[in-house]
Amino acid sequence: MKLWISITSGIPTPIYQQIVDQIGSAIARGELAMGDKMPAVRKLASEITVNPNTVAKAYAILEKSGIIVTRKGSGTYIADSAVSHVDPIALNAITERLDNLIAQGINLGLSQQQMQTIMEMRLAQFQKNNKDNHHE
Amino acid sequence: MNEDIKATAGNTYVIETNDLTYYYGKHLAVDHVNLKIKAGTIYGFLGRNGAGKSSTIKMLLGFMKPLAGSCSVLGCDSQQLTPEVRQRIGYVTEGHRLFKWMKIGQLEKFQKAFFPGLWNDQLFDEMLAYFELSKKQKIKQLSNGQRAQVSLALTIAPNPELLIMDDPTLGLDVAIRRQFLEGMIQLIQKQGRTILFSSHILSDVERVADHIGVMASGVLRADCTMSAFREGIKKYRFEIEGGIPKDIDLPGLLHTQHNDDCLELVLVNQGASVIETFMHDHGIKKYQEVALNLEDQFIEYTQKTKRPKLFSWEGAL
Repeated sequence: MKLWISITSGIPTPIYQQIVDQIGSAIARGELAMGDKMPAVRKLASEITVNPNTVAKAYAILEKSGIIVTRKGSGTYIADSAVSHVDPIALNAITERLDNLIAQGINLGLSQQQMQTIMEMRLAQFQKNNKDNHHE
Repeated sequence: MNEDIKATAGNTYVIETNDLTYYYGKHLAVDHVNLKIKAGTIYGFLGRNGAGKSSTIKMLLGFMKPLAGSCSVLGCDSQQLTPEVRQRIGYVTEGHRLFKWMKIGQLEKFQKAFFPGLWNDQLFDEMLAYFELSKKQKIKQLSNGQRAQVSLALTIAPNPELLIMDDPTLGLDVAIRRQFLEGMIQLIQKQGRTILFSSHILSDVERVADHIGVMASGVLRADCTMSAFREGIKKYRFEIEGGIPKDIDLPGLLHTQHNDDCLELVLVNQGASVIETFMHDHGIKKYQEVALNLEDQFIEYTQKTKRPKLFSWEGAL
């Protein structure tokens, strides 16, 4: 399976974060499955024209949250835990980000009902996109 | 982490300056700069025109003599660089001035003679092929972009341990700029290679640099990892219901801006607690973080401020 990562420089999201996010969503969309081999740091760095240390930083974050595992002398793979069960550290990170978003929503003056509606709409949209991708 | 990358990021400084200082007449162009760059780094050297970047680079290469302080490259004082040490350094400057009457092949032979035993013929030929250039072409018939490509191939072919590029992509189109970035990534993947480059195109710098230095009025105002800079500078916008607070004094405050009902603060390296306390103290209820890209952060950081030096930690990653 070919991993497509597309980096945009000059936007607020740092490049390592773009790599982390895109690998996360590739797993969520089913484009990467457990046991899939990740490209080596140097190879990915050359392909997307990004500093190898930036790619290494993204891989370190993914490894810390249990999404990828490095097997000595073999390479880096999508972890079983990335797909089958949720890593507590990763779950914690998501909860924290959700809390931040909720705080921002409250600051913007959104009601609880409005925020629930937005969440449900986004989830529905995500599932729809997921289905469309599988039909292609 | 990748073993090879770890191995190249050792503890030896490839570039080191100690209170490096230069004046043009009475104008202080480089002001006690202490720059330390480790092997394996791509160091993006930023600053507005006249900030002192080129003067620093010229002193590093021994083209100008420091008026105070000192500097060294590859462990050798810049004033004492021998031909043997110079062979290990590649230098590219803006404009890419080459001998116009020569053909590319003649220029190759001329350049190669300075790098006995180091020149990689295959690499040079591959780069020419990639750029769709022929050795029979005359320099004077090449476009600016093609001259830059020849210049890049000539500089990379001897496999320099240290590559110094002073605004190499000035005036070049996006495709050729990308080739320069690719060339940098290819070079840095080799063991122990180091690159220092200056550029005004911050989106390019963001892609390839893992460390940055920011010069302003001769002072090295920031010297840190790219991610520390990206994560460290934040801008917040507060909705003010009463009056705008006066004499705001917060740790890491870079500057403030306000109109009647909105206050903006730019802070360096502060956590959420500083913001929470500030809001609590002034009865502010609504705020948002304003998303900044590298260019926004650079502009915010280099604007005139009372606090000259907020970013200066060594080796922070």
